[in-house]
Amino acid sequence: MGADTTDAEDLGAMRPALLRIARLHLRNDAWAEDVVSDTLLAALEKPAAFEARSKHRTWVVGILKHKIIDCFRARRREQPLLDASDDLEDDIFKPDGHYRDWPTDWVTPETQLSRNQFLEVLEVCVQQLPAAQGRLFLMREWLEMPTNEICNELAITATNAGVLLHRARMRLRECLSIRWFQTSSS
Amino acid sequence: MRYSPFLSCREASRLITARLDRALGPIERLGLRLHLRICDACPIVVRQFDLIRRSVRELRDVVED
Repeated sequence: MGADTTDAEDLGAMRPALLRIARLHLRNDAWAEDVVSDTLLAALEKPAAFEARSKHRTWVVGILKHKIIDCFRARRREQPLLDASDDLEDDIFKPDGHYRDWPTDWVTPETQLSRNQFLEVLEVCVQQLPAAQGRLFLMREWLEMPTNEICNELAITATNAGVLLHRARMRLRECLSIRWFQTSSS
Repeated sequence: MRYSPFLSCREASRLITARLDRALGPIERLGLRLHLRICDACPIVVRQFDLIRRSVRELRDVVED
C-alpha cells in the first residue's frame, strides 16, 4: 500500500466498523454518531503517512477509543451510576448459596465459522447488558482500562464499579449458557 | 461479607470476578483458595469467566481489524 491511504474514501469505508464499536461502548446512538464524526474529522485533519492500511486503521481506532473515553468523561453526570438492582443472583443460586444448575465446562468451537457465530452471540449478549453494566464492562475488558482509572473517568466508587462488573459478568455467563453452550452441547 | 474459610459458592463467585479487576486482600485470597480446593463447581466457573475474558478480546480484535 502507498502512503496515500489516509484519504476521505478510506475513512468512509471504516465508518460502519467505527460506529459498531462506538455504539457497543456508549449505548447511545446519538453519542456514537458524534464520537465517530469527531474521530473521522480528527483523522482527516492530521494526515500521516502509513506504510500499510492496517496500521492506518489501528491508528483511527485508537483515536476513536480516546474519543469514547472523552465522551464518558463529558457525560458522566448524565449516566446512571447503577442499574436498577437485579435479582439475577437469586435465579442462579439457591438460598444456601449453591448453584441451582451445576456449572459445566464450556468447550468453544474450533472451526472458524462456528467461532465467528460464537462471537456474534457474545456480542448480542454484551449488547443486552443493562447500559451502566455494559459500559463499565467494555471499558474494563475491551479498552482494558485499570479499574481505578475507570472509577476516575466515571466518578464512581470502587465498590460501585465492583458491583456492576460482577453483575455484568454473571449476566454474560447466563446469556452464553443459554444462548450458546446449552444449545451446542445438547 | 463473611470471611470464613467456608465461603458459599455465591460469595466465591464475587471473589472470582473481583480477582479479574483488582488484587484480592490476604483474607479474601485465603478464603477463595480454600473454597476452590473443596468445591467442585467453582473451579469450572473460574474457567468460564476466563473464557469470557479471552473471548471478548477476540471479538474486539476481529471487530477492530
